Amino acid sequence: MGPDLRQTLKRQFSNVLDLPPEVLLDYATITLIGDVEAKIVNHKGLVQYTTTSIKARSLQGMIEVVGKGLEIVSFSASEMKISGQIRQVMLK
Amino acid sequence: MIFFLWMWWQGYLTLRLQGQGLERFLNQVATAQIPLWRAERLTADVIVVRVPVRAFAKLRPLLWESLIKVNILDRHGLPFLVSKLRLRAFWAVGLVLALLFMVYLSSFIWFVEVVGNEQISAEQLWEVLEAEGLRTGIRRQNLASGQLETTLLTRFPILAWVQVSLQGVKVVINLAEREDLPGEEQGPGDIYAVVDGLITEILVLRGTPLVKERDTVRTGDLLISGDYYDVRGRKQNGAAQGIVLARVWYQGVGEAPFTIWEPVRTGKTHLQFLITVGSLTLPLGKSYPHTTHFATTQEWCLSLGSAMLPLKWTRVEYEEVVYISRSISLEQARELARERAWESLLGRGIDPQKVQDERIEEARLVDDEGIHITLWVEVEEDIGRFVPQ
Repeated sequence: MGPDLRQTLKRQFSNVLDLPPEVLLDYATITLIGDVEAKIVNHKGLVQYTTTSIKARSLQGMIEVVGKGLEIVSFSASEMKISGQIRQVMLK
Repeated sequence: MIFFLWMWWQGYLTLRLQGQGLERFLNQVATAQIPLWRAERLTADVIVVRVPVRAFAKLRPLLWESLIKVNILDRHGLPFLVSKLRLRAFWAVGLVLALLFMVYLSSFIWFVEVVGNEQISAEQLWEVLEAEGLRTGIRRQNLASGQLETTLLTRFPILAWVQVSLQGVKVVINLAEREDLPGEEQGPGDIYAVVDGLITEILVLRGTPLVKERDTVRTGDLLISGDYYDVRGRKQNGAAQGIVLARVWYQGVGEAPFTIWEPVRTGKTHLQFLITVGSLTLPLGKSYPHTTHFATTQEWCLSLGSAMLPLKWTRVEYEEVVYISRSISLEQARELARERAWESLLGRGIDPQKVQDERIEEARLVDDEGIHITLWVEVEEDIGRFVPQ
């Protein structure tokens, strides 16, 4: 069973049982509080950190937060909180 | 906030990480379950992070494996504060002891202030207060306000009201004395005129009037005699009682020059501080005479909650002034002289509200450098005063 088929089955299972997909499918969750704080849960590692751009890996691709005066407020293996003046959040 | 307080309780380090591949290193740190917070990117190869002090040991093996250099920039939190205080144990103990001593001192009464006694002398009051156990140095809790109020009212019948209140380390005793009505409980006597005047109204409550309305009387004239005849026609000698209203003229004098000297601030200021402990004042800095300097005073009293401590800090700012002469017009000089004449009348207790007529006489000073004003005011007042026989 290939990874794509496994993902499809998991998605259908999640739909049938009405379970949150981020739990079953290991999706990254990005929460924005206005333009001053971003929280990325379930990231797979920090790739780049500057005061204007922070990139983190996820299973769905690269998450990039762009802004000014960015700072990592807290950092753990699964969760990252970013503060600063956030202008863009991208999934590449 | 709770996270920060918890980290402060445990103690944390501010680390400066320098090298290539800092992101990879941060990932390794996170994988090793070491919490990181406030990671600030300073330059392309420098990041400042905060880590708990206990996690630093776990960080070391990761540092050895990488090419990242680490410096401890600062140490924060309770464990470091405690170790600092251990080094300054005497200072910390001294501070705590001083605070405890101040709290202990504030549990005593250091000042007693009596307000409102006019007829009762301070010595008489002190005698009673000391007999009741009130003196400086007693504990605040030993002050029995209610009992003290009752004792004072009993011992001094002239008192109408007494309030004993505790303000920090100070006891304030507020008194109100009775004001006796004229003629009440007095021996025989007469009412005499205290000033010259033209009588406008006379009301005799007891005794025999010896003057009538529109009479002109002089100071010392007998107005109401205490002698009277009872219902059987016998002459009695009692206390005269009554009101004698008369028109009285008062004279006030004021002078004003045509050149006045006004103070102008030079901009130079000097500061002086005063430390007052109880009745002892220690000046820090020089004081300046009031003739050449204006002084502005600010005071701070040390207090612990509602408790006031016998320690005061005073800041005196002296502003240097020079006096320059300025010519004023005749009208301004006239107004100034009139104000001064009124001041002299007010100083003699004349109430401006009672003034019924006013007359002004004006003259130049001998050297013609100023103006002299004589102000007469007419007031209607009770001119009688009881004089016991």
